[in-house]
Amino acid sequence: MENSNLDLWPQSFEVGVKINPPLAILREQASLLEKKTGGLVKAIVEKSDNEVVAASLYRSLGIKATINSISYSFWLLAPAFGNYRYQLFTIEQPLEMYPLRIVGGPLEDMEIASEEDLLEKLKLIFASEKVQRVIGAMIAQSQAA
Amino acid sequence: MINFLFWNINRRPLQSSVARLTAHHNINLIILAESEISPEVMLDALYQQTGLDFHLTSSLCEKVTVYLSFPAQLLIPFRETERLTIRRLALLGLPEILIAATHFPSKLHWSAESQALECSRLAEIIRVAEKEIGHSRTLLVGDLNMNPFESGMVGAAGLHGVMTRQIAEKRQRIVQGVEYPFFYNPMWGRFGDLTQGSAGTYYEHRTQHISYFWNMFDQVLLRPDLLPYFQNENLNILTHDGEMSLVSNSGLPDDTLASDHLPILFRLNI
Repeated sequence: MENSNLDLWPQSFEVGVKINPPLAILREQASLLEKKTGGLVKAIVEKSDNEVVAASLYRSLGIKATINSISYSFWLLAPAFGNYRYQLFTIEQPLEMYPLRIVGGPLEDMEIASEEDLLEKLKLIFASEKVQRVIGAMIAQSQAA
Repeated sequence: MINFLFWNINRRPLQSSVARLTAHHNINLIILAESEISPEVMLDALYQQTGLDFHLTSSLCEKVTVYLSFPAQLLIPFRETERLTIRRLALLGLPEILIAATHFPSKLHWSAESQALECSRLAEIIRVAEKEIGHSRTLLVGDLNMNPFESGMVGAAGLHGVMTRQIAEKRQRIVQGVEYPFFYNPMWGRFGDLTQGSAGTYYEHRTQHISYFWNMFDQVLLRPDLLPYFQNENLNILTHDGEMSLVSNSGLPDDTLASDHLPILFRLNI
Protein backbone atom coordinates (compact mmCIF):
# COMPACT_ATOMS: atom_id res chain seq x y z
CA MET A 1 0.00 0.00 0.00
CA GLU A 2 1.42 3.42 -1.01
CA ASN A 3 0.27 5.43 1.94
CA SER A 4 0.64 3.37 5.08
CA ASN A 5 -0.82 6.23 7.17
CA LEU A 6 -4.11 6.18 5.36
CA ASP A 7 -6.75 6.51 8.12
CA LEU A 8 -10.24 5.59 7.10
CA TRP A 9 -11.74 6.04 10.57
CA PRO A 10 -13.89 9.05 11.40
CA GLN A 11 -12.51 11.72 13.75
CA SER A 12 -14.54 10.49 16.68
CA PHE A 13 -17.22 8.02 17.67
CA GLU A 14 -20.61 8.51 19.20
CA VAL A 15 -20.17 6.80 22.51
CA GLY A 16 -23.76 7.43 23.51
CA VAL A 17 -22.72 8.99 26.80
CA LYS A 18 -26.19 10.42 27.24
CA ILE A 19 -27.69 6.94 27.36
CA ASN A 20 -27.65 5.04 30.62
CA PRO A 21 -27.20 1.36 29.83
CA PRO A 22 -30.13 -0.72 31.08
CA LEU A 23 -27.73 -2.60 33.33
CA ALA A 24 -26.76 0.65 35.07
CA ILE A 25 -30.41 1.56 35.54
CA LEU A 26 -31.21 -1.84 37.03
CA ARG A 27 -28.23 -1.72 39.35
CA GLU A 28 -29.16 1.72 40.58
CA GLN A 29 -32.69 0.56 41.37
CA ALA A 30 -31.28 -2.53 43.05
CA SER A 31 -29.17 -0.45 45.40
CA LEU A 32 -32.13 1.76 46.26
CA LEU A 33 -34.24 -1.21 47.37
CA GLU A 34 -31.69 -2.30 49.92
CA LYS A 35 -31.79 1.14 51.52
CA LYS A 36 -35.60 1.22 51.48
CA THR A 37 -35.91 -2.10 53.30
CA GLY A 38 -33.15 -1.54 55.82
CA GLY A 39 -31.06 -4.25 54.17
CA LEU A 40 -33.70 -6.94 54.67
CA VAL A 41 -34.37 -7.25 50.97
CA LYS A 42 -31.70 -6.62 48.40
CA ALA A 43 -31.89 -6.75 44.66
CA ILE A 44 -29.17 -8.10 42.45
CA VAL A 45 -28.76 -8.09 38.73
CA GLU A 46 -27.16 -11.13 37.20
CA LYS A 47 -25.94 -11.55 33.68
CA SER A 48 -27.30 -14.77 32.28
CA ASP A 49 -25.38 -17.28 30.24
CA ASN A 50 -28.55 -17.68 28.30
CA GLU A 51 -27.14 -16.34 25.06
CA VAL A 52 -24.51 -19.09 25.12
CA VAL A 53 -27.04 -21.81 25.78
CA ALA A 54 -29.53 -20.26 23.40
CA ALA A 55 -26.98 -20.43 20.64
CA SER A 56 -26.40 -24.10 21.44
CA LEU A 57 -30.12 -24.77 21.47
CA TYR A 58 -30.62 -22.99 18.19
CA ARG A 59 -27.95 -25.25 16.70
CA SER A 60 -29.67 -28.32 18.12
CA LEU A 61 -32.97 -27.12 16.70
CA GLY A 62 -31.39 -26.55 13.33
CA ILE A 63 -32.23 -22.86 13.46
CA LYS A 64 -29.74 -20.54 11.84
CA ALA A 65 -29.84 -17.50 14.05
CA THR A 66 -27.35 -15.00 15.33
CA ILE A 67 -27.55 -14.49 19.04
CA ASN A 68 -26.58 -10.94 19.80
CA SER A 69 -28.66 -10.30 22.87
CA ILE A 70 -27.63 -10.16 26.49
CA SER A 71 -29.90 -11.25 29.32
CA TYR A 72 -29.95 -9.78 32.80
CA SER A 73 -32.10 -11.22 35.53
CA PHE A 74 -33.36 -9.00 38.33
CA TRP A 75 -33.52 -11.00 41.56
CA LEU A 76 -34.81 -10.05 44.99
CA LEU A 77 -32.67 -11.48 47.76
CA ALA A 78 -33.40 -11.95 51.47
CA PRO A 79 -30.02 -12.61 53.15
CA ALA A 80 -31.57 -13.24 56.58
CA PHE A 81 -34.00 -15.80 55.14
CA GLY A 82 -31.45 -18.35 54.01
CA ASN A 83 -30.37 -16.24 51.05
CA TYR A 84 -33.80 -16.80 49.51
CA ARG A 85 -34.12 -15.33 46.04
CA TYR A 86 -37.11 -14.46 43.89
CA GLN A 87 -36.61 -13.70 40.22
CA LEU A 88 -38.65 -10.62 39.45
CA PHE A 89 -38.02 -10.36 35.72
CA THR A 90 -35.41 -10.72 33.02
CA ILE A 91 -34.41 -8.23 30.38
CA GLU A 92 -33.16 -9.31 26.99
CA GLN A 93 -31.29 -6.53 25.27
CA PRO A 94 -29.39 -6.30 22.02
CA LEU A 95 -25.90 -4.86 22.01
CA GLU A 96 -27.43 -1.59 20.83
CA MET A 97 -29.46 -1.65 24.08
CA TYR A 98 -32.86 -0.75 22.61
CA PRO A 99 -35.41 -2.01 21.84
CA LEU A 100 -35.20 -4.51 24.67
CA ARG A 101 -37.68 -6.93 26.18
CA ILE A 102 -38.80 -7.46 29.75
CA VAL A 103 -39.91 -11.06 30.19
CA GLY A 104 -41.12 -13.31 32.98
CA GLY A 105 -42.16 -10.41 35.18
CA PRO A 106 -45.25 -9.70 37.24
CA LEU A 107 -46.82 -7.89 34.28
CA GLU A 108 -47.13 -9.04 30.69
CA ASP A 109 -43.92 -9.49 28.70
CA MET A 110 -43.20 -6.12 27.10
CA GLU A 111 -41.02 -4.50 24.49
CA ILE A 112 -39.18 -1.37 25.59
CA ALA A 113 -38.31 1.22 22.99
CA SER A 114 -36.15 3.65 24.91
CA GLU A 115 -34.59 4.57 28.22
CA GLU A 116 -37.59 6.71 29.06
CA ASP A 117 -39.87 3.79 28.32
CA LEU A 118 -37.74 1.50 30.48
CA LEU A 119 -37.95 3.86 33.46
CA GLU A 120 -41.70 4.12 33.07
CA LYS A 121 -42.21 0.35 32.85
CA LEU A 122 -39.90 -0.36 35.78
CA LYS A 123 -41.92 2.04 37.87
CA LEU A 124 -45.07 0.15 36.90
CA ILE A 125 -43.49 -3.19 37.77
CA PHE A 126 -42.14 -2.04 41.12
CA ALA A 127 -45.52 -0.56 42.05
CA SER A 128 -47.44 -3.68 41.04
CA GLU A 129 -49.47 -5.57 43.59
CA LYS A 130 -47.35 -8.66 43.06
CA VAL A 131 -44.08 -6.90 43.85
CA GLN A 132 -45.58 -5.28 46.93
CA ARG A 133 -46.66 -8.71 48.13
CA VAL A 134 -43.37 -10.43 47.33
CA ILE A 135 -41.23 -7.80 49.07
CA GLY A 136 -43.64 -7.63 52.01
CA ALA A 137 -43.40 -11.41 52.45
CA MET A 138 -39.62 -11.37 52.20
CA ILE A 139 -39.39 -8.64 54.84
CA ALA A 140 -41.73 -10.58 57.14
CA GLN A 141 -39.80 -13.83 56.67
CA SER A 142 -36.50 -12.05 57.28
CA GLN A 143 -37.76 -10.43 60.46
CA ALA A 144 -39.03 -13.78 61.73
CA ALA A 145 -35.81 -15.63 60.90
CA MET B 1 -38.47 -43.04 52.48
CA ILE B 2 -40.26 -40.06 50.96
CA ASN B 3 -43.31 -40.45 48.74
CA PHE B 4 -44.13 -37.68 46.28
CA LEU B 5 -47.32 -36.92 44.41
CA PHE B 6 -47.46 -34.46 41.54
CA TRP B 7 -50.74 -33.57 39.87
CA ASN B 8 -51.98 -30.82 37.61
CA ILE B 9 -55.55 -30.68 38.85
CA ASN B 10 -56.81 -28.36 36.12
CA ARG B 11 -58.39 -25.87 38.54
CA ARG B 12 -60.84 -28.53 39.69
CA PRO B 13 -62.00 -28.97 43.31
CA LEU B 14 -60.22 -32.30 43.61
CA GLN B 15 -59.25 -32.04 47.27
CA SER B 16 -60.99 -35.32 48.15
CA SER B 17 -59.22 -37.15 45.35
CA VAL B 18 -55.84 -35.67 46.30
CA ALA B 19 -56.46 -36.63 49.91
CA ARG B 20 -57.46 -40.19 48.98
CA LEU B 21 -54.32 -40.59 46.86
CA THR B 22 -52.29 -39.21 49.76
CA ALA B 23 -53.79 -41.66 52.23
CA HIS B 24 -53.63 -44.61 49.84
CA HIS B 25 -49.98 -44.11 48.91
CA ASN B 26 -48.67 -42.61 52.17
CA ILE B 27 -47.66 -39.44 50.40
CA ASN B 28 -45.34 -37.08 52.25
CA LEU B 29 -45.04 -34.33 49.69
CA ILE B 30 -47.94 -33.18 47.53
CA ILE B 31 -47.09 -30.87 44.65
CA LEU B 32 -50.03 -29.42 42.75
CA ALA B 33 -50.22 -27.33 39.60
CA GLU B 34 -53.28 -25.32 38.66
CA SER B 35 -54.67 -25.60 42.16
CA GLU B 36 -57.34 -23.13 43.20
CA ILE B 37 -58.28 -25.08 46.31
CA SER B 38 -57.99 -22.94 49.41
CA PRO B 39 -55.39 -24.17 51.91
CA GLU B 40 -58.04 -24.60 54.61
CA VAL B 41 -60.13 -26.87 52.40
CA MET B 42 -57.11 -28.90 51.25
CA LEU B 43 -55.67 -29.31 54.73
CA ASP B 44 -59.06 -30.33 56.10
CA ALA B 45 -59.53 -32.93 53.35
CA LEU B 46 -56.04 -34.29 54.02
CA TYR B 47 -56.76 -34.54 57.73
CA GLN B 48 -60.08 -36.29 57.11
CA GLN B 49 -58.44 -38.92 54.93
CA THR B 50 -55.09 -39.43 56.61
CA GLY B 51 -55.65 -38.31 60.20
CA LEU B 52 -52.46 -36.32 59.83
CA ASP B 53 -51.80 -32.60 60.00
CA PHE B 54 -50.33 -31.64 56.68
CA HIS B 55 -48.72 -28.26 56.19
CA LEU B 56 -48.88 -25.70 53.43
CA THR B 57 -45.41 -24.37 52.77
CA SER B 58 -44.73 -20.69 52.32
CA SER B 59 -43.95 -19.70 48.79
CA LEU B 60 -44.08 -16.78 46.41
CA CYS B 61 -44.43 -19.05 43.39
CA GLU B 62 -48.09 -18.95 42.50
CA LYS B 63 -48.14 -21.67 39.86
CA VAL B 64 -47.18 -24.51 42.17
CA THR B 65 -48.60 -25.42 45.59
CA VAL B 66 -46.78 -27.73 47.97
CA TYR B 67 -48.20 -29.51 51.01
CA LEU B 68 -46.18 -31.81 53.18
CA SER B 69 -46.58 -34.14 56.11
CA PHE B 70 -43.37 -32.90 57.73
CA PRO B 71 -43.12 -29.56 59.54
CA ALA B 72 -43.14 -26.79 56.96
CA GLN B 73 -39.81 -25.38 58.16
CA LEU B 74 -38.06 -28.50 56.85
CA LEU B 75 -38.83 -27.49 53.29
CA ILE B 76 -37.17 -24.14 52.82
CA PRO B 77 -37.76 -22.05 49.69
CA PHE B 78 -34.43 -21.16 48.12
CA ARG B 79 -35.05 -19.87 44.60
CA GLU B 80 -38.37 -18.95 43.08
CA THR B 81 -39.86 -17.40 40.02
CA GLU B 82 -43.43 -17.02 38.88
CA ARG B 83 -43.39 -20.62 37.58
CA LEU B 84 -40.64 -22.34 39.52
CA THR B 85 -39.97 -23.11 43.13
CA ILE B 86 -36.72 -24.65 44.35
CA ARG B 87 -36.82 -25.87 47.94
CA ARG B 88 -34.29 -27.45 50.26
CA LEU B 89 -35.69 -30.49 52.03
CA ALA B 90 -33.60 -31.11 55.12
CA LEU B 91 -34.88 -34.04 57.17
CA LEU B 92 -33.04 -34.83 60.36
CA GLY B 93 -30.23 -37.29 59.80
CA LEU B 94 -30.81 -37.51 56.05
CA PRO B 95 -28.88 -35.87 53.24
CA GLU B 96 -30.50 -32.66 52.09
CA ILE B 97 -32.20 -32.76 48.72
CA LEU B 98 -33.22 -29.98 46.38
CA ILE B 99 -36.75 -30.14 45.04
CA ALA B 100 -37.50 -28.04 42.00
CA ALA B 101 -41.13 -27.90 40.92
CA THR B 102 -42.54 -26.07 37.97
CA HIS B 103 -45.57 -25.49 35.84
CA PHE B 104 -43.98 -24.64 32.54
CA PRO B 105 -45.58 -22.40 29.88
CA SER B 106 -48.16 -24.18 27.78
CA LYS B 107 -48.02 -25.08 24.12
CA LEU B 108 -51.23 -23.11 23.75
CA HIS B 109 -49.27 -19.89 24.10
CA TRP B 110 -45.63 -20.84 23.42
CA SER B 111 -43.96 -22.36 20.39
CA ALA B 112 -41.71 -25.41 20.81
CA GLU B 113 -38.70 -23.19 20.12
CA SER B 114 -39.71 -20.71 22.82
CA GLN B 115 -40.25 -23.54 25.27
CA ALA B 116 -36.79 -24.89 24.45
CA LEU B 117 -35.17 -21.55 25.03
CA GLU B 118 -37.04 -21.07 28.28
CA CYS B 119 -35.79 -24.51 29.33
CA SER B 120 -32.26 -23.19 29.10
CA ARG B 121 -33.21 -20.47 31.56
CA LEU B 122 -34.82 -23.00 33.90
CA ALA B 123 -31.79 -25.28 33.69
CA GLU B 124 -29.46 -22.40 34.43
CA ILE B 125 -31.39 -21.38 37.56
CA ILE B 126 -31.17 -24.96 38.83
CA ARG B 127 -27.45 -25.20 38.08
CA VAL B 128 -26.72 -21.92 39.86
CA ALA B 129 -28.78 -23.00 42.88
CA GLU B 130 -26.89 -26.32 43.06
CA LYS B 131 -23.57 -24.53 42.83
CA GLU B 132 -24.46 -22.15 45.64
CA ILE B 133 -25.78 -24.90 47.91
CA GLY B 134 -22.88 -27.18 47.14
CA HIS B 135 -24.63 -30.37 46.10
CA SER B 136 -26.76 -31.67 43.27
CA ARG B 137 -29.07 -34.12 44.96
CA THR B 138 -31.78 -32.50 42.91
CA LEU B 139 -35.06 -33.55 41.41
CA LEU B 140 -37.22 -31.57 39.05
CA VAL B 141 -40.92 -32.35 38.93
CA GLY B 142 -43.88 -30.71 37.31
CA ASP B 143 -46.05 -30.16 34.32
CA LEU B 144 -43.31 -29.41 31.79
CA ASN B 145 -45.82 -29.03 28.96
CA MET B 146 -43.29 -30.82 26.77
CA ASN B 147 -42.64 -34.45 25.99
CA PRO B 148 -39.38 -36.04 27.16
CA PHE B 149 -38.09 -36.17 23.59
CA GLU B 150 -38.48 -32.46 22.85
CA SER B 151 -35.45 -30.21 22.36
CA GLY B 152 -35.86 -28.28 25.59
CA MET B 153 -36.03 -31.52 27.57
CA VAL B 154 -33.09 -33.32 25.97
CA GLY B 155 -30.87 -30.45 24.79
CA ALA B 156 -27.60 -30.18 26.69
CA ALA B 157 -28.27 -26.51 27.29
CA GLY B 158 -31.85 -27.32 28.19
CA LEU B 159 -32.77 -29.80 30.87
CA HIS B 160 -30.52 -32.48 29.43
CA GLY B 161 -32.85 -35.29 30.46
CA VAL B 162 -31.60 -38.64 29.19
CA MET B 163 -33.46 -41.91 28.89
CA THR B 164 -31.16 -44.30 30.74
CA ARG B 165 -29.47 -44.36 34.11
CA GLN B 166 -26.29 -45.53 32.46
CA ILE B 167 -25.96 -42.33 30.46
CA ALA B 168 -27.02 -40.13 33.37
CA GLU B 169 -24.40 -41.75 35.59
CA LYS B 170 -21.72 -40.23 33.36
CA ARG B 171 -22.87 -37.09 35.18
CA GLN B 172 -22.20 -34.51 32.47
CA ARG B 173 -20.96 -33.94 28.97
CA ILE B 174 -19.22 -31.11 27.17
CA VAL B 175 -20.73 -29.40 24.16
CA GLN B 176 -18.78 -26.65 22.38
CA GLY B 177 -16.50 -26.33 25.39
CA VAL B 178 -19.31 -25.93 27.93
CA GLU B 179 -20.04 -28.63 30.51
CA TYR B 180 -23.69 -29.54 31.10
CA PRO B 181 -24.91 -31.90 33.86
CA PHE B 182 -27.37 -34.67 33.06
CA PHE B 183 -30.77 -35.33 34.49
CA TYR B 184 -32.13 -38.86 34.32
CA ASN B 185 -35.66 -38.78 32.97
CA PRO B 186 -37.45 -42.03 33.86
CA MET B 187 -40.60 -40.87 32.08
CA TRP B 188 -39.07 -42.06 28.80
CA GLY B 189 -39.70 -45.57 30.06
CA ARG B 190 -43.38 -44.97 30.68
CA PHE B 191 -44.49 -44.29 27.12
CA GLY B 192 -46.87 -46.55 25.23
CA ASP B 193 -48.98 -49.55 26.08
CA LEU B 194 -46.20 -52.01 26.84
CA THR B 195 -45.36 -50.11 29.99
CA GLN B 196 -46.84 -50.16 33.44
CA GLY B 197 -49.83 -47.84 33.88
CA SER B 198 -51.23 -45.35 31.45
CA ALA B 199 -49.49 -44.62 28.13
CA GLY B 200 -48.89 -41.00 29.13
CA THR B 201 -50.16 -38.36 31.53
CA TYR B 202 -52.08 -36.16 29.11
CA TYR B 203 -54.14 -37.08 26.09
CA GLU B 204 -54.78 -34.79 23.16
CA HIS B 205 -55.95 -35.71 19.70
CA ARG B 206 -55.14 -32.97 17.24
CA THR B 207 -56.76 -32.99 13.83
CA GLN B 208 -53.49 -32.54 12.00
CA HIS B 209 -50.93 -34.90 10.51
CA ILE B 210 -48.78 -35.20 13.61
CA SER B 211 -50.62 -36.22 16.73
CA TYR B 212 -48.97 -38.20 19.54
CA PHE B 213 -52.36 -38.73 21.22
CA TRP B 214 -50.68 -39.55 24.53
CA ASN B 215 -48.20 -37.04 25.92
CA MET B 216 -45.89 -37.20 28.90
CA PHE B 217 -46.10 -33.61 30.03
CA ASP B 218 -45.97 -34.45 33.74
CA GLN B 219 -42.50 -35.61 34.60
CA VAL B 220 -39.90 -36.14 37.27
CA LEU B 221 -36.20 -35.86 36.46
CA LEU B 222 -33.37 -36.76 38.81
CA ARG B 223 -29.73 -35.80 38.99
CA PRO B 224 -27.27 -38.72 39.12
CA ASP B 225 -26.63 -38.07 42.82
CA LEU B 226 -30.22 -39.05 43.61
CA LEU B 227 -30.22 -42.24 41.55
CA PRO B 228 -29.03 -44.47 44.41
CA TYR B 229 -32.26 -43.53 46.19
CA PHE B 230 -34.59 -44.10 43.27
CA GLN B 231 -35.87 -47.35 41.78
CA ASN B 232 -37.80 -47.19 38.54
CA GLU B 233 -40.57 -49.41 39.86
CA ASN B 234 -41.30 -46.68 42.40
CA LEU B 235 -42.59 -44.37 39.71
CA ASN B 236 -46.21 -44.68 38.64
CA ILE B 237 -48.78 -42.83 36.61
CA LEU B 238 -51.94 -43.15 38.64
CA THR B 239 -55.36 -43.86 37.19
CA HIS B 240 -57.37 -44.44 40.36
CA ASP B 241 -57.49 -42.62 43.68
CA GLY B 242 -58.63 -45.62 45.67
CA GLU B 243 -62.31 -44.77 45.36
CA MET B 244 -62.75 -43.05 42.04
CA SER B 245 -61.28 -43.75 38.62
CA LEU B 246 -59.30 -40.86 37.16
CA VAL B 247 -59.80 -42.22 33.65
CA SER B 248 -62.85 -42.83 31.50
CA ASN B 249 -63.99 -46.25 30.28
CA SER B 250 -61.66 -45.85 27.30
CA GLY B 251 -58.70 -45.27 29.62
CA LEU B 252 -58.30 -41.56 28.90
CA PRO B 253 -57.99 -38.91 31.63
CA ASP B 254 -61.51 -38.13 32.75
CA ASP B 255 -61.69 -34.37 32.96
CA THR B 256 -65.37 -34.41 33.84
CA LEU B 257 -64.76 -36.18 37.15
CA ALA B 258 -61.06 -35.53 37.67
CA SER B 259 -58.38 -33.68 35.68
CA ASP B 260 -57.18 -33.68 32.09
CA HIS B 261 -53.78 -34.71 33.50
CA LEU B 262 -53.00 -37.89 35.40
CA PRO B 263 -51.03 -37.71 38.63
CA ILE B 264 -47.58 -39.17 39.03
CA LEU B 265 -46.30 -40.87 42.14
CA PHE B 266 -42.66 -41.56 42.96
CA ARG B 267 -40.59 -42.54 45.92
CA LEU B 268 -37.10 -41.78 47.14
CA ASN B 269 -35.63 -44.36 49.49
CA ILE B 270 -33.56 -41.78 51.26
